[in-house]
Amino acid sequence: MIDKQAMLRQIEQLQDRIGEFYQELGELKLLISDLIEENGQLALENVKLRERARLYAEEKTPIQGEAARYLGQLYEDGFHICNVNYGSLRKGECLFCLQSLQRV
Amino acid sequence: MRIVILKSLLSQALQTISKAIPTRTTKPILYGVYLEVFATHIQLTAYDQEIGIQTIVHPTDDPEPTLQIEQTGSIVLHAKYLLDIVRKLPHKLVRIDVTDLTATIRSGSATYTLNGMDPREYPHLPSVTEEMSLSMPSNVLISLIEQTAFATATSEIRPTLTGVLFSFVEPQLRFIASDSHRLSIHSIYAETKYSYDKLEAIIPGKSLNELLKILPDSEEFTDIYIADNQLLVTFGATKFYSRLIEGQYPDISRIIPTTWRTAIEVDPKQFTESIERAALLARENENQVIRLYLRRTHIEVTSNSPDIGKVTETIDPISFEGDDLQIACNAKFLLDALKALNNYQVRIEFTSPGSAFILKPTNSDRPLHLILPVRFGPNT
Ligand SMILES: [Zn+2]
Repeated sequence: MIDKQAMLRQIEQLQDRIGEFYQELGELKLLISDLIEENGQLALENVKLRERARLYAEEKTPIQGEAARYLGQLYEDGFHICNVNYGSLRKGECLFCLQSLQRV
Repeated sequence: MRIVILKSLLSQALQTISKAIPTRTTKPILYGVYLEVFATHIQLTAYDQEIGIQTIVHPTDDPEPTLQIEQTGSIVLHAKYLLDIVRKLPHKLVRIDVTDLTATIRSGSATYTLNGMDPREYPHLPSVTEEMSLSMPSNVLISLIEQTAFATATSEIRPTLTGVLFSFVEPQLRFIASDSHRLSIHSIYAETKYSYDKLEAIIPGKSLNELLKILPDSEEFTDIYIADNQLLVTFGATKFYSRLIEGQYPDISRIIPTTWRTAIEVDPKQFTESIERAALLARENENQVIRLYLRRTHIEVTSNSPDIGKVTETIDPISFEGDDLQIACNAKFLLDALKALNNYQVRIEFTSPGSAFILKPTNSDRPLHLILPVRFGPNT
Protein backbone atom coordinates (compact mmCIF):
# COMPACT_ATOMS: atom_id res chain seq x y z
CA MET A 1 0.00 0.00 0.00
CA ILE A 2 1.49 3.34 -1.04
CA ASP A 3 1.41 6.16 1.49
CA LYS A 4 -0.32 8.84 -0.60
CA GLN A 5 0.28 11.55 2.02
CA ALA A 6 4.00 10.82 2.03
CA MET A 7 4.06 10.95 -1.77
CA LEU A 8 2.33 14.35 -1.75
CA ARG A 9 4.86 15.68 0.76
CA GLN A 10 7.66 14.38 -1.42
CA ILE A 11 6.23 16.13 -4.48
CA GLU A 12 5.83 19.37 -2.51
CA GLN A 13 9.44 19.17 -1.38
CA LEU A 14 10.55 18.52 -4.92
CA GLN A 15 8.54 21.52 -6.08
CA ASP A 16 10.29 23.72 -3.52
CA ARG A 17 13.70 22.47 -4.61
CA ILE A 18 12.84 23.08 -8.26
CA GLY A 19 11.86 26.60 -7.31
CA GLU A 20 15.21 27.14 -5.61
CA PHE A 21 16.93 25.68 -8.64
CA TYR A 22 15.11 28.09 -10.90
CA GLN A 23 16.14 31.03 -8.79
CA GLU A 24 19.75 29.91 -8.73
CA LEU A 25 19.65 29.32 -12.47
CA GLY A 26 18.28 32.83 -12.99
CA GLU A 27 21.08 34.32 -10.85
CA LEU A 28 23.72 32.35 -12.72
CA LYS A 29 22.28 33.49 -16.01
CA LEU A 30 22.59 37.11 -14.93
CA LEU A 31 26.15 36.54 -13.78
CA ILE A 32 27.09 34.92 -17.08
CA SER A 33 25.56 37.69 -19.14
CA ASP A 34 27.53 40.20 -17.04
CA LEU A 35 30.72 38.22 -17.67
CA ILE A 36 30.01 37.97 -21.39
CA GLU A 37 29.51 41.70 -21.57
CA GLU A 38 32.69 42.40 -19.62
CA ASN A 39 34.63 39.97 -21.80
CA GLY A 40 33.35 41.68 -24.93
CA GLN A 41 34.44 45.05 -23.60
CA LEU A 42 37.87 43.72 -22.67
CA ALA A 43 38.31 42.09 -26.08
CA LEU A 44 37.36 45.35 -27.77
CA GLU A 45 39.71 47.29 -25.53
CA ASN A 46 42.47 44.79 -26.29
CA VAL A 47 41.94 45.13 -30.04
CA LYS A 48 42.02 48.92 -29.75
CA LEU A 49 45.15 48.91 -27.58
CA ARG A 50 46.91 46.50 -29.93
CA GLU A 51 45.97 48.61 -32.91
CA ARG A 52 47.21 51.74 -31.17
CA ALA A 53 50.44 50.04 -30.16
CA ARG A 54 50.90 48.74 -33.71
CA LEU A 55 50.54 52.30 -35.04
CA TYR A 56 53.10 53.50 -32.51
CA ALA A 57 55.40 50.66 -33.47
CA GLU A 58 55.15 51.57 -37.13
CA GLU A 59 55.75 55.23 -36.54
CA LYS A 60 59.25 56.29 -37.42
CA THR A 61 59.23 59.31 -35.16
CA PRO A 62 60.19 58.63 -31.56
CA ILE A 63 57.33 57.60 -29.31
CA GLN A 64 56.85 59.90 -26.37
CA GLY A 65 55.00 60.32 -23.13
CA GLU A 66 52.23 57.98 -22.08
CA ALA A 67 52.48 55.82 -25.21
CA ALA A 68 56.18 55.24 -24.69
CA ARG A 69 55.61 54.27 -21.07
CA TYR A 70 52.79 51.91 -22.05
CA LEU A 71 54.82 50.21 -24.80
CA GLY A 72 57.89 50.10 -22.57
CA GLN A 73 55.85 48.33 -19.91
CA LEU A 74 54.40 45.90 -22.44
CA TYR A 75 57.94 45.09 -23.58
CA GLU A 76 59.14 44.61 -20.00
CA ASP A 77 56.16 42.29 -19.43
CA GLY A 78 57.62 40.03 -22.11
CA PHE A 79 55.71 41.00 -25.26
CA HIS A 80 56.92 42.18 -28.63
CA ILE A 81 55.80 45.70 -29.45
CA CYS A 82 57.51 45.80 -32.84
CA ASN A 83 55.45 45.39 -35.99
CA VAL A 84 57.51 42.35 -37.00
CA ASN A 85 56.43 40.21 -34.08
CA TYR A 86 53.71 42.41 -32.61
CA GLY A 87 51.81 41.03 -29.63
CA SER A 88 53.62 37.69 -29.47
CA LEU A 89 55.62 36.54 -26.47
CA ARG A 90 59.22 37.68 -26.53
CA LYS A 91 62.15 35.27 -26.16
CA GLY A 92 65.11 37.38 -25.25
CA GLU A 93 65.66 40.94 -26.38
CA CYS A 94 64.36 42.19 -29.73
CA LEU A 95 66.17 44.69 -31.98
CA PHE A 96 62.98 45.85 -33.66
CA CYS A 97 61.20 46.44 -30.34
CA LEU A 98 64.16 48.37 -28.97
CA GLN A 99 64.28 50.40 -32.16
CA SER A 100 60.66 51.41 -31.59
CA LEU A 101 61.48 52.24 -27.98
CA GLN A 102 64.60 54.18 -29.00
CA ARG A 103 66.75 51.94 -26.86
CA VAL A 104 68.88 49.99 -29.33
CA MET B 1 69.02 9.51 -76.97
CA ARG B 2 72.64 8.41 -77.07
CA ILE B 3 75.71 10.18 -75.69
CA VAL B 4 79.26 9.47 -74.62
CA ILE B 5 80.58 11.87 -71.99
CA LEU B 6 83.62 12.31 -69.79
CA LYS B 7 82.78 10.91 -66.35
CA SER B 8 84.20 13.92 -64.49
CA LEU B 9 82.18 16.34 -66.63
CA LEU B 10 78.91 14.51 -66.01
CA SER B 11 79.53 14.06 -62.30
CA GLN B 12 80.35 17.77 -61.92
CA ALA B 13 77.11 18.77 -63.68
CA LEU B 14 75.11 16.31 -61.55
CA GLN B 15 76.81 17.62 -58.41
CA THR B 16 75.73 21.16 -59.32
CA ILE B 17 72.07 20.39 -59.97
CA SER B 18 71.81 18.00 -57.00
CA LYS B 19 71.48 21.06 -54.67
CA ALA B 20 67.91 21.38 -55.98
CA ILE B 21 67.01 17.72 -55.43
CA PRO B 22 64.77 17.44 -52.36
CA THR B 23 65.66 15.00 -49.58
CA ARG B 24 61.99 14.30 -49.01
CA THR B 25 59.01 15.00 -51.25
CA THR B 26 55.54 13.72 -52.01
CA LYS B 27 56.20 14.03 -55.77
CA PRO B 28 58.67 11.31 -56.77
CA ILE B 29 59.41 13.00 -60.13
CA LEU B 30 61.23 15.73 -58.17
CA TYR B 31 63.91 13.20 -57.13
CA GLY B 32 64.82 13.13 -60.79
CA VAL B 33 67.20 15.10 -62.95
CA TYR B 34 65.72 16.11 -66.27
CA LEU B 35 68.34 15.19 -68.83
CA GLU B 36 67.92 16.68 -72.31
CA VAL B 37 70.20 15.98 -75.25
CA PHE B 38 70.20 18.55 -78.06
CA ALA B 39 72.24 18.50 -81.27
CA THR B 40 74.85 20.90 -79.85
CA HIS B 41 74.77 20.37 -76.07
CA ILE B 42 73.16 18.55 -73.17
CA GLN B 43 71.09 20.22 -70.45
CA LEU B 44 70.46 19.04 -66.87
CA THR B 45 67.61 20.44 -64.77
CA ALA B 46 66.56 19.92 -61.14
CA TYR B 47 63.69 21.80 -59.54
CA ASP B 48 62.23 21.13 -56.09
CA GLN B 49 59.74 23.97 -56.67
CA GLU B 50 61.59 26.20 -54.25
CA ILE B 51 65.04 26.14 -55.85
CA GLY B 52 65.73 25.28 -59.47
CA ILE B 53 69.12 24.65 -61.08
CA GLN B 54 69.84 24.19 -64.77
CA THR B 55 73.25 23.60 -66.25
CA ILE B 56 74.48 23.06 -69.82
CA VAL B 57 77.42 20.99 -71.02
CA HIS B 58 78.92 21.73 -74.44
CA PRO B 59 81.41 19.54 -76.28
CA THR B 60 84.88 21.14 -76.06
CA ASP B 61 87.73 21.30 -78.54
CA ASP B 62 90.06 19.23 -76.37
CA PRO B 63 92.11 16.65 -78.28
CA GLU B 64 90.34 14.03 -76.21
CA PRO B 65 86.56 13.95 -76.70
CA THR B 66 84.61 15.30 -73.69
CA LEU B 67 81.09 14.94 -75.06
CA GLN B 68 79.86 13.13 -78.12
CA ILE B 69 76.21 13.48 -79.08
CA GLU B 70 74.97 10.56 -81.19
CA GLN B 71 71.22 10.99 -80.89
CA THR B 72 69.02 13.65 -79.27
CA GLY B 73 66.28 12.90 -76.75
CA SER B 74 65.35 13.29 -73.09
CA ILE B 75 64.63 11.37 -69.88
CA VAL B 76 64.20 11.94 -66.14
CA LEU B 77 66.54 9.81 -64.00
CA HIS B 78 66.80 9.49 -60.23
CA ALA B 79 69.46 12.11 -59.55
CA LYS B 80 71.07 10.78 -56.35
CA TYR B 81 71.43 7.23 -57.75
CA LEU B 82 72.78 8.54 -61.04
CA LEU B 83 75.32 10.73 -59.23
CA ASP B 84 76.47 7.86 -56.97
CA ILE B 85 76.75 5.52 -59.96
CA VAL B 86 78.63 7.95 -62.19
CA ARG B 87 81.12 8.76 -59.41
CA LYS B 88 82.01 5.09 -59.00
CA LEU B 89 82.19 4.08 -62.66
CA PRO B 90 85.47 2.38 -63.57
CA HIS B 91 86.31 4.11 -66.85
CA LYS B 92 86.96 7.77 -67.78
CA LEU B 93 84.14 7.76 -70.33
CA VAL B 94 80.44 7.01 -69.78
CA ARG B 95 77.99 5.93 -72.47
CA ILE B 96 74.27 6.56 -71.88
CA ASP B 97 71.68 4.99 -74.18
CA VAL B 98 67.99 5.66 -73.63
CA THR B 99 65.23 3.60 -75.19
CA ASP B 100 61.71 4.59 -74.20
CA LEU B 101 62.04 5.22 -70.47
CA THR B 102 65.00 2.97 -69.75
CA ALA B 103 68.57 4.18 -69.57
CA THR B 104 71.59 1.92 -70.04
CA ILE B 105 74.79 3.30 -68.55
CA ARG B 106 78.05 1.69 -69.59
CA SER B 107 81.58 2.44 -68.49
CA GLY B 108 84.44 -0.03 -68.87
CA SER B 109 83.20 -3.35 -67.55
CA ALA B 110 80.12 -2.01 -65.71
CA THR B 111 76.59 -1.83 -67.09
CA TYR B 112 73.64 -0.32 -65.25
CA THR B 113 70.05 -0.31 -66.44
CA LEU B 114 68.01 2.45 -64.81
CA ASN B 115 64.25 2.96 -64.98
CA GLY B 116 63.54 6.52 -65.97
CA MET B 117 60.54 8.78 -65.50
CA ASP B 118 58.50 10.62 -68.14
CA PRO B 119 59.98 14.06 -68.99
CA ARG B 120 56.49 15.35 -69.80
CA GLU B 121 55.67 15.10 -66.09
CA TYR B 122 58.65 17.18 -65.00
CA PRO B 123 57.66 20.65 -63.65
CA HIS B 124 58.63 23.69 -65.73
CA LEU B 125 61.16 26.10 -64.32
CA PRO B 126 59.68 29.52 -63.54
CA SER B 127 59.96 32.07 -66.31
CA VAL B 128 61.96 35.14 -65.33
CA THR B 129 61.90 38.16 -67.59
CA GLU B 130 65.55 38.99 -67.97
CA GLU B 131 65.24 42.76 -67.72
CA MET B 132 65.97 43.80 -64.16
CA SER B 133 69.53 42.71 -63.68
CA LEU B 134 72.68 43.44 -61.73
CA SER B 135 76.16 42.13 -62.54
CA MET B 136 79.02 41.43 -60.21
CA PRO B 137 81.99 39.10 -59.86
CA SER B 138 81.01 35.75 -58.41
CA ASN B 139 83.34 36.14 -55.42
CA VAL B 140 81.68 39.46 -54.55
CA LEU B 141 78.27 37.79 -54.48
CA ILE B 142 79.81 35.07 -52.31
CA SER B 143 80.99 37.64 -49.77
CA LEU B 144 77.56 39.33 -49.69
CA ILE B 145 75.97 35.98 -48.88
CA GLU B 146 78.66 34.84 -46.43
CA GLN B 147 78.40 38.06 -44.44
CA THR B 148 74.61 37.92 -44.04
CA ALA B 149 72.82 34.61 -44.68
CA PHE B 150 73.89 33.11 -41.31
CA ALA B 151 72.00 35.82 -39.42
CA THR B 152 68.57 34.94 -40.86
CA ALA B 153 65.88 33.50 -38.58
CA THR B 154 65.30 29.75 -38.76
CA SER B 155 61.77 29.84 -37.36
CA GLU B 156 59.13 30.07 -40.06
CA ILE B 157 56.80 32.08 -37.81
CA ARG B 158 58.07 35.35 -39.28
CA PRO B 159 58.73 34.41 -42.90
CA THR B 160 60.33 37.73 -43.85
CA LEU B 161 63.11 37.23 -41.30
CA THR B 162 64.03 33.83 -42.78
CA GLY B 163 65.21 35.73 -45.84
CA VAL B 164 67.97 38.15 -46.74
CA LEU B 165 66.82 41.58 -47.88
CA PHE B 166 68.31 42.38 -51.28
CA SER B 167 68.10 46.15 -51.57
CA PHE B 168 69.50 48.06 -54.50
CA VAL B 169 69.41 51.85 -54.43
CA GLU B 170 71.67 53.03 -57.17
CA PRO B 171 74.61 52.57 -57.04
CA GLN B 172 74.66 50.59 -53.79
CA LEU B 173 73.50 47.03 -53.29
CA ARG B 174 72.88 46.01 -49.67
CA PHE B 175 72.25 42.56 -48.22
CA ILE B 176 70.55 42.68 -44.81
CA ALA B 177 69.64 39.78 -42.51
CA SER B 178 68.29 39.65 -38.96
CA ASP B 179 66.67 37.14 -36.62
CA SER B 180 65.63 40.07 -34.39
CA HIS B 181 68.45 39.41 -31.88
CA ARG B 182 71.25 40.24 -34.31
CA LEU B 183 71.59 41.93 -37.66
CA SER B 184 74.18 41.70 -40.41
CA ILE B 185 74.68 44.09 -43.32
CA HIS B 186 77.06 44.04 -46.23
CA SER B 187 77.06 46.32 -49.23
CA ILE B 188 78.84 46.84 -52.53
CA TYR B 189 78.68 49.13 -55.51
CA ALA B 190 77.08 47.13 -58.30
CA GLU B 191 77.02 47.55 -62.06
CA THR B 192 73.65 47.55 -63.75
CA LYS B 193 72.67 47.19 -67.37
CA TYR B 194 69.80 49.62 -66.91
CA SER B 195 69.01 52.25 -64.36
CA TYR B 196 66.62 51.44 -61.54
CA ASP B 197 65.37 53.72 -58.82
CA LYS B 198 65.02 50.94 -56.37
CA LEU B 199 65.05 47.18 -56.51
CA GLU B 200 64.06 45.14 -53.47
CA ALA B 201 63.46 41.47 -52.80
CA ILE B 202 63.58 39.05 -49.87
CA ILE B 203 65.58 35.96 -50.82
CA PRO B 204 65.19 32.81 -48.66
CA GLY B 205 68.34 32.30 -46.58
CA LYS B 206 68.22 28.57 -47.40
CA SER B 207 68.37 29.29 -51.13
CA LEU B 208 71.38 31.55 -50.69
CA ASN B 209 73.17 28.87 -48.68
CA GLU B 210 72.64 26.39 -51.54
CA LEU B 211 73.76 28.99 -54.09
CA LEU B 212 76.90 29.51 -52.02
CA LYS B 213 77.82 25.84 -52.54
CA ILE B 214 77.88 26.12 -56.34
CA LEU B 215 79.10 29.67 -57.01
CA PRO B 216 82.66 29.66 -58.36
CA ASP B 217 85.10 31.50 -56.08
CA SER B 218 86.41 33.61 -58.97
CA GLU B 219 86.22 36.99 -60.70
CA GLU B 220 83.88 35.48 -63.29
CA PHE B 221 80.78 37.67 -63.63
CA THR B 222 77.36 36.59 -62.43
CA ASP B 223 74.09 38.23 -63.44
CA ILE B 224 71.26 38.56 -60.93
CA TYR B 225 67.71 38.97 -62.17
CA ILE B 226 64.78 39.86 -59.91
CA ALA B 227 61.27 39.24 -61.21
CA ASP B 228 57.92 39.43 -59.41
CA ASN B 229 58.41 36.43 -57.19
CA GLN B 230 61.54 34.81 -58.60
CA LEU B 231 65.26 35.26 -58.40
CA LEU B 232 67.53 34.08 -61.20
CA VAL B 233 71.31 34.03 -60.89
CA THR B 234 73.35 33.01 -63.92
CA PHE B 235 77.04 32.13 -63.95
CA GLY B 236 78.98 30.22 -66.58
CA ALA B 237 76.63 27.64 -68.07
CA THR B 238 74.48 27.45 -64.94
CA LYS B 239 71.18 29.08 -63.99
CA PHE B 240 70.01 29.18 -60.37
CA TYR B 241 66.36 29.94 -59.60
CA SER B 242 64.77 30.63 -56.22
CA ARG B 243 61.35 31.74 -55.13
CA LEU B 244 61.25 35.05 -53.26
CA ILE B 245 59.58 35.67 -49.90
CA GLU B 246 56.52 37.88 -50.04
CA GLY B 247 55.97 40.68 -47.59
CA GLN B 248 57.58 43.81 -46.30
CA TYR B 249 61.00 43.64 -44.66
CA PRO B 250 61.02 45.52 -41.33
CA ASP B 251 62.46 49.01 -41.16
CA ILE B 252 66.01 48.97 -39.82
CA SER B 253 66.89 52.61 -40.40
CA ARG B 254 67.33 53.43 -36.69
CA ILE B 255 68.77 50.13 -35.46
CA ILE B 256 72.43 50.83 -36.10
CA PRO B 257 73.93 52.92 -33.29
CA THR B 258 75.94 55.94 -34.35
CA THR B 259 77.85 56.49 -31.12
CA TRP B 260 79.90 54.27 -28.82
CA ARG B 261 81.42 54.45 -25.35
CA THR B 262 83.84 51.53 -25.38
CA ALA B 263 85.73 50.28 -28.41
CA ILE B 264 88.23 47.46 -28.72
CA GLU B 265 90.25 46.01 -31.56
CA VAL B 266 90.91 42.30 -31.61
CA ASP B 267 92.46 39.61 -33.75
CA PRO B 268 89.41 37.59 -34.80
CA LYS B 269 91.23 34.23 -34.65
CA GLN B 270 92.59 34.75 -31.13
CA PHE B 271 89.30 36.20 -29.88
CA THR B 272 87.36 33.34 -31.49
CA GLU B 273 89.46 30.74 -29.67
CA SER B 274 88.88 32.45 -26.31
CA ILE B 275 85.13 32.66 -26.88
CA GLU B 276 85.06 29.01 -27.99
CA ARG B 277 86.80 27.92 -24.77
CA ALA B 278 84.35 29.94 -22.65
CA ALA B 279 81.42 28.64 -24.68
CA LEU B 280 82.28 25.04 -23.73
CA LEU B 281 80.62 25.67 -20.37
CA ALA B 282 77.92 27.91 -21.82
CA ARG B 283 76.40 25.14 -23.91
CA GLU B 284 74.23 24.16 -20.96
CA ASN B 285 72.56 27.50 -20.42
CA GLU B 286 69.83 28.18 -22.91
CA ASN B 287 71.26 31.21 -24.65
CA GLN B 288 74.90 30.07 -24.50
CA VAL B 289 75.62 33.16 -22.44
CA ILE B 290 79.16 34.34 -21.84
CA ARG B 291 80.25 37.50 -20.09
CA LEU B 292 82.83 40.00 -21.20
CA TYR B 293 84.57 42.29 -18.72
CA LEU B 294 86.20 45.03 -20.76
CA ARG B 295 88.91 46.84 -18.84
CA ARG B 296 91.68 49.13 -19.96
CA THR B 297 94.27 46.63 -18.74
CA HIS B 298 92.75 43.46 -20.18
CA ILE B 299 89.56 41.73 -21.29
CA GLU B 300 88.12 38.90 -19.25
CA VAL B 301 85.86 36.30 -20.86
CA THR B 302 83.89 34.19 -18.40
CA SER B 303 81.12 31.67 -18.41
CA ASN B 304 79.28 30.02 -15.58
CA SER B 305 77.14 26.91 -15.68
CA PRO B 306 75.82 26.31 -12.15
CA ASP B 307 75.77 22.49 -12.48
CA ILE B 308 79.11 22.12 -14.21
CA GLY B 309 81.52 24.85 -13.30
CA LYS B 310 83.00 28.08 -14.56
CA VAL B 311 85.74 29.35 -16.79
CA THR B 312 87.75 32.57 -16.91
CA GLU B 313 90.15 33.65 -19.61
CA THR B 314 91.98 36.93 -20.07
CA ILE B 315 93.03 38.44 -23.37
CA ASP B 316 94.91 41.58 -24.35
CA PRO B 317 93.09 43.56 -27.02
CA ILE B 318 95.09 45.22 -29.79
CA SER B 319 93.60 48.50 -28.63
CA PHE B 320 91.14 49.82 -26.07
CA GLU B 321 89.27 53.13 -26.08
CA GLY B 322 86.67 54.56 -23.71
CA ASP B 323 85.16 53.31 -20.46
CA ASP B 324 85.28 49.95 -18.70
CA LEU B 325 82.22 47.86 -19.47
CA GLN B 326 80.60 44.58 -18.50
CA ILE B 327 78.39 42.80 -20.98
CA ALA B 328 76.74 39.39 -21.43
CA CYS B 329 75.93 37.91 -24.80
CA ASN B 330 75.16 34.78 -26.77
CA ALA B 331 78.45 33.06 -27.61
CA LYS B 332 77.17 31.66 -30.91
CA PHE B 333 76.18 35.10 -32.21
CA LEU B 334 79.62 36.43 -31.37
CA LEU B 335 81.36 33.43 -32.98
CA ASP B 336 79.24 33.69 -36.16
CA ALA B 337 80.14 37.37 -36.57
CA LEU B 338 83.84 36.75 -35.86
CA LYS B 339 83.88 33.89 -38.37
CA ALA B 340 82.40 36.18 -41.03
CA LEU B 341 85.08 38.78 -40.22
CA ASN B 342 87.82 36.16 -40.19
CA ASN B 343 89.95 38.02 -42.77
CA TYR B 344 89.87 41.42 -41.09
CA GLN B 345 91.27 43.02 -37.99
CA VAL B 346 88.06 43.50 -36.03
CA ARG B 347 86.80 46.56 -34.19
CA ILE B 348 83.98 46.12 -31.65
CA GLU B 349 82.03 49.16 -30.47
CA PHE B 350 79.85 49.04 -27.34
CA THR B 351 77.45 51.63 -25.93
CA SER B 352 76.00 50.08 -22.77
CA PRO B 353 75.28 46.64 -21.25
CA GLY B 354 71.74 46.77 -22.65
CA SER B 355 72.48 48.22 -26.10
CA ALA B 356 73.42 46.47 -29.30
CA PHE B 357 77.13 46.36 -30.10
CA ILE B 358 78.82 46.40 -33.49
CA LEU B 359 81.55 44.25 -35.01
CA LYS B 360 83.22 45.48 -38.20
CA PRO B 361 86.57 45.71 -39.92
CA THR B 362 88.85 48.26 -38.23
CA ASN B 363 88.98 50.63 -41.18
CA SER B 364 85.55 50.19 -42.70
CA ASP B 365 81.84 50.06 -41.99
CA ARG B 366 81.30 47.18 -44.44
CA PRO B 367 80.51 44.45 -43.55
CA LEU B 368 78.82 45.25 -40.26
CA HIS B 369 77.41 42.89 -37.63
CA LEU B 370 75.15 43.98 -34.80
CA ILE B 371 74.42 41.88 -31.70
CA LEU B 372 72.02 42.53 -28.83
CA PRO B 373 73.49 41.61 -25.44
CA VAL B 374 71.67 39.36 -23.00
CA ARG B 375 70.43 41.04 -19.85
CA PHE B 376 72.23 40.01 -16.71
CA GLY B 377 70.20 37.41 -14.84
CA PRO B 378 70.85 35.03 -11.95
CA ASN B 379 72.34 32.43 -14.33
CA THR B 380 74.48 34.66 -16.38
ZN1 LIG C 1 60.04 42.70 -31.21
